[in-house]
Amino acid sequence: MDSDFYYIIEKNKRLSFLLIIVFIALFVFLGGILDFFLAVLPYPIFTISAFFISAILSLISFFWGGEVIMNAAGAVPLAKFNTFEYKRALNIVSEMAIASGTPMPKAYVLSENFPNAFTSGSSPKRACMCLTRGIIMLLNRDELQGVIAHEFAHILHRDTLKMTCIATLWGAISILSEWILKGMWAGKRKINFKKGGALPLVLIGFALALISPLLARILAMAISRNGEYMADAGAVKLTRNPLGLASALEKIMNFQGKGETLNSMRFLFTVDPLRNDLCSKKTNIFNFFNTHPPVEKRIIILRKMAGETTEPRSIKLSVKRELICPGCGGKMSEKKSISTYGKLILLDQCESCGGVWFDRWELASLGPSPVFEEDFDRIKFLTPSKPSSGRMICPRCGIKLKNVKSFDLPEKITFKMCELCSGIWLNKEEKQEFFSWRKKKSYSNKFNDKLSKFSGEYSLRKETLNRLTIGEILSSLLRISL
Amino acid sequence: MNTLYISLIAASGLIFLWVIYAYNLLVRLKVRVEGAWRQIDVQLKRRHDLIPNLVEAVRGYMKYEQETLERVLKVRSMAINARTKDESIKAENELSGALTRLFALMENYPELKANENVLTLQEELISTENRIAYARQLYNDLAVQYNTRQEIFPSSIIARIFGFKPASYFNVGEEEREVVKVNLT
Repeated sequence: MDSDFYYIIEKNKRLSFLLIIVFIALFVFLGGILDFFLAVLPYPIFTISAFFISAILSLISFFWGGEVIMNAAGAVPLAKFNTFEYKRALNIVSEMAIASGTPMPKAYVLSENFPNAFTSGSSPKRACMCLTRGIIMLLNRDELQGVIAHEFAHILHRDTLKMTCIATLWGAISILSEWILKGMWAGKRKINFKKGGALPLVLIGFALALISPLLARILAMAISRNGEYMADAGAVKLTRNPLGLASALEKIMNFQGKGETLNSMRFLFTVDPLRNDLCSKKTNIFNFFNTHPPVEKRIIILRKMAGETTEPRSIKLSVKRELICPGCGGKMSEKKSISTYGKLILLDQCESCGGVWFDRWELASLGPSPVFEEDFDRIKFLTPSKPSSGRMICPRCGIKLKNVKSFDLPEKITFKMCELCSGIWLNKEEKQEFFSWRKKKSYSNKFNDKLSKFSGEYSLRKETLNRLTIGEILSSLLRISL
Repeated sequence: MNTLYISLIAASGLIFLWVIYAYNLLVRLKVRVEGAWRQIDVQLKRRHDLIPNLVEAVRGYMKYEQETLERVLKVRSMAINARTKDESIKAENELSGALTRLFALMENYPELKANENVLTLQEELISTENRIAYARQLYNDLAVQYNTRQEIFPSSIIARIFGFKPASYFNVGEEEREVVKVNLT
């Protein structure tokens, strides 16, 4: 039976093994050519050094990558939240830990609307799992179970380790091919063409050096796609419910918009530390350059496992969730405003009580004398603004808001802040108080810094920053050396 | 002559190493199987603790379902007081069935869905039900591995010599297979 998950896992395992053998053969052959013709030392010095340069770079992203990015992007431990959806997500993670017989991984939430999930970590004991806010809010229980099982399958298959090895070989092949090509152009002094008198071999070596980086990339991507099919089948092995993951993938496929926080930091590492994510939005025309197989194909395979043959549908997903006012529970609408740099900012104001929700950065970038849309202050409010007390829920993340006070602020103002997305809520009175006070206060850098901090600017630990810098320097060094 | 001795010693050394390896593998599997069994017990205990809270929380809303609620409580105490393993397995399976029925009935009460306390309790119980199912699944998977290892040659010799016994499988109870009937009238 070709739709059995055991069969799929076995089949892909064999294919991965074969691809890895081809990969190693390519590397050894290239290194052999270079060392044979240059023959500076009796040892294969070039092969070994290319391998080590590449290995060091890969190991850095292997041990640091995931953690650094999670810190930099402001991921918060999942266990910190006690709202329904987040508790449910944590429950599912521990259910899957039981199903897979691994220790409970560290689970994090990332404040991002795009539904995604990824794992990192060198072994099941040190595994981290990160879910975005989008995926927790978008999916139902069965779907989230499928997604988390897919991530557990990555942990069980040790895909982070596997892809680090692949990336090492890939990097080493690129270095070797560069050296060979440079050696060729550098003139006949360097490469001894007459050695062994094998001109055809030289030509083959030259041709191979030209195409090998491309070949290596195609091979690496094929192995990665294989790993995804294996993780899908592994997820079914854990949950025995292929339809949950299939419907989750269908929802994510139809989701409009893209992830921003993570993609902006990924370039820092030579090996993508978070490549164990769920599915990629980026699709090239040619399938062999993609890290993930086409989502439609994955859905069809999963449905086949359950004996269903329905094609993936394109459902209309409402991208924007309607925001609910944390103060009075009313509807919120968007109001235009201009930031200090003249950029348009869309604030969310409650239509009934006039309270305003400021997303991360928004309050700080408004500046001392912001320009608002006309009815921002004049709007007639049906219900008076309630005193900010009781349980207030973040309209974006659905978790409890925290009261934050600062000695810089006037007595009457308390920021209601969301720990996850760093958004700030001000009710009508507080908003007016804040802006009139802000106008009076002369423009000062120090205050702006504090405000930026409040609205969620870097809250990075020093260690994380150091690692980020080192990663950046190293990866730029690699790019120069190549 | 000398080479013969050396090769004999090397061969027996290799066999000895393999015996150690095969024995350790069996022991490791045995420990994992036992661990998986204990995990089931932990989750069953968690379920016993959660049930009274949920029943109390929904009792006020589900006035016409007293019979179902009483049955859940009764089966729970039966499961706790079970003496033998067979009795316990039977009672736990019945409890799963009774809970499934309760969850299905709860769907008929929209006001329950608005109650956050009930929702949280229900989520905890659903999660526990899943954990029990997954713990059993893991136990069965490990038991298959353990038993296969004992059956296949040559590790079957080691299993025979050191007296490893096959682990028993967990069967799904009749109660759980039964389709839940929901009265919608």
